[in-house]
Amino acid sequence: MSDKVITNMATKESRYEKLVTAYSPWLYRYAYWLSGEKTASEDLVQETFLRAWRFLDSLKDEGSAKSWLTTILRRENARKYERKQFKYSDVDTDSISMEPTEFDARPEVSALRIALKGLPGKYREPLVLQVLEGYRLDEIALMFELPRNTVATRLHRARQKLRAVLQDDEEIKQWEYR
Amino acid sequence: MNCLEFRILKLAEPYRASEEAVLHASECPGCSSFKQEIHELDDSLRTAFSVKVPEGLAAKVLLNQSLKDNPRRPTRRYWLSLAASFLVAITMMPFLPMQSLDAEIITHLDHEVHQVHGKSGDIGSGEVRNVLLAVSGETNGSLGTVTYASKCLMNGQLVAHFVVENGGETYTLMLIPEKIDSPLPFQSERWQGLVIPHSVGSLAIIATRQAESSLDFLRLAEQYSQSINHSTI
Ligand SMILES: [Zn+2]
Repeated sequence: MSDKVITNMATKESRYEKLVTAYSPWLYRYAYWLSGEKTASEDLVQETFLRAWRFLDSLKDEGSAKSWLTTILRRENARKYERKQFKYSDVDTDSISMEPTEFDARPEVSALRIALKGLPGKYREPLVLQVLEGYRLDEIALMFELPRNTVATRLHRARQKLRAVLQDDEEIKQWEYR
Repeated sequence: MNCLEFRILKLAEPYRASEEAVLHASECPGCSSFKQEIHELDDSLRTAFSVKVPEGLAAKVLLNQSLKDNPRRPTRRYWLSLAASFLVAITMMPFLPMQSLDAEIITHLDHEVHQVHGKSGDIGSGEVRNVLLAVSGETNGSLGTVTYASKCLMNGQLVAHFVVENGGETYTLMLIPEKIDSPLPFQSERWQGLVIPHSVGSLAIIATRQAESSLDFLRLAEQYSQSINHSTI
């Protein structure tokens, strides 16, 4: 191997290491809300980065790294889990409460998490991007290859549904304690 | 801007507001409190979305990548197909390289899981020493609680198989005579683990995938590799 090849390799490795360190937490969280389970999420992050390594040269601008990685992860998920797409409604809530260390355990947050799990993926996904990472509407639209208005409608519906669930919850509570 | 327009915008992008929207909220108490409510919803959402990321995830990703980049030795299937093509498959069989080590370990654990499951209580250092001798290993006594120890035959070689407890988790340790060049992380449906080179040959540390996903196998492997040495007898 020539010195130049070795230097290029070292540059690639350090660039890669920075990406992994900076973005693996975000990708794991996103994967979790896509796939619904810890093991599948970790696998997805692993596969995303393996693919990213192979195509690292195609990432020209470090500023778009997060969107680039997120898109890879979405595709990996679609490819791998298309058929056995996680049905949140199939999960009994016991398996959620069995992971107390994973989450903030306040009851209102638990209620919200269960509501989120009941939300169809097309509503939940843009919401994660917007709420957790501050993506703008047009950025999400670009990533999902959807018209901006479609994404806006989904986000609007997602919040409406969540509000409805939480309000029902509130009413049930008030009724119970009456 | 009317109330409906304002609320539709708020629900789609709570933290972006046009001048018009700001003006509307300042003049309309109903929409102002609606805005407040949606911001509170988003605060709760942020908390709800923030699941805990497994510790050491980045390190695991990097390790995995470096291993993928260094091609491992050819698989048994490769040798089998090669042998078959020379019509010597049957006579060659005993001399073929083993299956990759991680696959052997997984097969062995799946096979023995019923035997090992549910044991509790320390089995005593005599038994541990006895089993270690089988792979020319000895311990300085710092293995902690050992609930299972067995000499096992894994693909034709004698290995020491232990189940240990550490910090509330249960791990399987295996001392294997076969040497490897670099750490090898692996995963199956049921297991997750790491094999590292060790003076005895190699040392595998394995946990179930239900175990805390933030396990730092590198640190654990290092710890256990110091508890077990090559026998000086
Ligand atoms: Zn209004």
